[in-house]
Amino acid sequence: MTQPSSESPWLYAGASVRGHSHKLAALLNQDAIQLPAQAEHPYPLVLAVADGHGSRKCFRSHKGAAFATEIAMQVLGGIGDPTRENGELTPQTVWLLETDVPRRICRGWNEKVDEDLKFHPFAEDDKRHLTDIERKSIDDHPATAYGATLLAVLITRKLIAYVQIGDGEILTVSDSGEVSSPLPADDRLFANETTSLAGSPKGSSKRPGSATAATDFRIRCIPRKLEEPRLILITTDGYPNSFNSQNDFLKVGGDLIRLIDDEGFDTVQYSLPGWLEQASAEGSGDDVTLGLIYRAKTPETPSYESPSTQPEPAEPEPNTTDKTSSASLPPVGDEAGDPQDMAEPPLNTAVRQEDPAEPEKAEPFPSSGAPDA
Amino acid sequence: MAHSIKRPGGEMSARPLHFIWIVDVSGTMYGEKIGSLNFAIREALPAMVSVAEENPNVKVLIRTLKFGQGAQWHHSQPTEVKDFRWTDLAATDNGTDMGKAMEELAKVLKMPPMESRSVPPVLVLLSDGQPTDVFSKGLRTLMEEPWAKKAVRIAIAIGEDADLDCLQKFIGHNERKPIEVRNAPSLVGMIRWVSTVVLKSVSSPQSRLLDQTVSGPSIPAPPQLNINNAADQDVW
Repeated sequence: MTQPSSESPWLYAGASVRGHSHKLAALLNQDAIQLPAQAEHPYPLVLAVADGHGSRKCFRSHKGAAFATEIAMQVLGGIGDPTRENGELTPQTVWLLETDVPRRICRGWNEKVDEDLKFHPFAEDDKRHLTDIERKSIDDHPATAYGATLLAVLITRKLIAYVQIGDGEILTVSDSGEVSSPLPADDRLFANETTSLAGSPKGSSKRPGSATAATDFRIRCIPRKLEEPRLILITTDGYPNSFNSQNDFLKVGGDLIRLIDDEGFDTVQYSLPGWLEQASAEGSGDDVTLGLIYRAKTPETPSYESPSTQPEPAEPEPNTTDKTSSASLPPVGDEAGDPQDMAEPPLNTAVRQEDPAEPEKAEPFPSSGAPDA
Repeated sequence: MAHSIKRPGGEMSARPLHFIWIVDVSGTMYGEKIGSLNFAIREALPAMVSVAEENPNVKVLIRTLKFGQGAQWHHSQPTEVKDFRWTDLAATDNGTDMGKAMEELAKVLKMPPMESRSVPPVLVLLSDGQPTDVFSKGLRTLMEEPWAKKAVRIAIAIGEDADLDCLQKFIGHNERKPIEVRNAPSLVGMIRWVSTVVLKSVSSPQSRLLDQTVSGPSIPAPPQLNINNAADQDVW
C-alpha cells in the first residue's frame, strides 16, 4: 500500500524581519534565509537560515549569514540521494552527511569570507569601535567578523537531513501534532553565546576557526520511510527567545498545523512577516527568521486538532477541505513516477519584510541568491 | 485572497535580565560608606528605569543580597526596575561572610529558577573588608553554576582595606579589575556607571562567539572620575 506521505507534495515558505532593537539602533538585519530554488525536479529540497552574531567583533556577520545560506544550498543541494534503493542509510550516507558535509560547508564559507576580504579588506573605520584585544582577535582571525550560525533541512526522495551549527531551533511536527526537536540540544548555547561557522577563537591552526567549526555541527539524517514530519520549522534564536517559555514556543508547531489546515498555506505565508515583527517587538528584539516546510495533506492524512480544543484523539477526516493541497500539484515521492514528468515543482512561497519604511508590505522572497542584508 | 490571522504560539515577553546588588553590611561599612551606598543606589534608580525603557526587549529585574553575619536577601523577589523601591541597608553586623553570599547567589542562579532565554545577569559586589568565612568554598559553589560563569561580575572595593584578591577572584576576568573607590563621590559615581552604562551594554540581544575562557559579555571600561583623591573629601 502506498504510504500517504510519499504522495504528499512539500510546500515551503519563509520570512526574515529586522529586529526591533536593531531598528532602534539603526542596525541591519543580520539574519539570512534561502528557500528551495524553483527547479525542474522537486528534489533535493533545501531550506536554510542563518543568524549573524552581531556582536562588536562580528561587524560583517550579515554577510557571513548570507554566505552561510548560500553555501548550504550548494553543498546540500549537490549531494544527491545517498541512500540504498530501499531508502536505508548506508555507512557512506552517514559519513557523507555527518562528517563531509560540515567540512564542505565550512570550507565553502571560509572561501566566501576570504574572497570578500580580498575585495573588501577591513578599513580602519570598521574597527574603530573595538578594544585593543578585540582588534587583535580580528587581526588574528578575520573570519570572526563574519561569524554566523546555520540551520538547514535537506529533503531528498529517500531521506530528510537536519543540519545545525549554533543557536536557533529546528522543530518537527508529526501528523498527530507532536512537536519535537530532531537534533540534540547543545548545552553550551545560552547567555547569548553560540558556536559559529567562524569557529572558536581559541583554535590554534592557521585558520583556527574552520577546524573547530566542523566539529560543532549537529546533524541527523532519517529515512523518510521511517519518519516524515507533517511540518518542519527552522528558525533563528530571535523567535524562540521571544516566547515566555519553551512551552509557549513549542505551541507554535501545533498552532501552525491547525492554521494551515483552517486558513490555508497561502494565508499563513502571507501572515509570517507580521507574526515575526510582533515577536521581535514584544519579545526578544532580535532579528527573527522562520522557514517552514509543510507536507500537504492527502485524504489518508490524520487531521490534527489542538489538545486544548479537542481532547479526543485525532481522527482521519477524508473530506476535510485542505486549501493547501487544493493546488494542482503532482504527487511526488516513490509513486510519483519519473521526475521528468512532473508538471510543477512544489510551491515556492516566501516573504520577507525588512524595510522599516514599509512595514505592511510583504514582498516575494527570491528563491535563489543571497538576501540583502 | 490571503488575510492576516492570529499568530501561533503562546505568550511572548521581553527577555529577563537579572541585576543583583551584593552588599557588605559589616560594621566597618557603618556611617558614610553605607550611607553613600544607599543614597547612590536610590538616586541611580531613575536612570536605570530610563535605560530599561530604551531597551524594551529586556526586562530588568533587581534584587539585593546583603552579607555580614551570614548572608540574607534584602530584596528577595526579582522586581522589575520600574516597580523597584530601594530600602536602606544598615551596616551593623559582626563579620564579613562573603563566602556565604556566594552560596546564596548560587541558589538563585540555578536553572530553574533561571530561564534559558535570560540575558547574562549582572552581579555587583560591594565590600570594604576581608572575608571572615571560607570565601573560596563559596566562590567554588557559585562558579559551578553555568549562569554564574556567564554573568557580568563587577566588584567595587570600598576603602583601602578591601580584599582586592578576593574581589578579583569573584570577577574572574583578566581584563577587569576591582573598581577602587576611596570616597563618597567616587562610590556614587561608580554605582551610577554600573546602573546605566553596564546595564545598557548587557541589554543587547546580540550573540557572541562561544568562548569557554571568558566570562560574560564585554563591558565598557569604568570611567576615570578623578575624585578619588579629592582634597575636600574624607578618604576611606
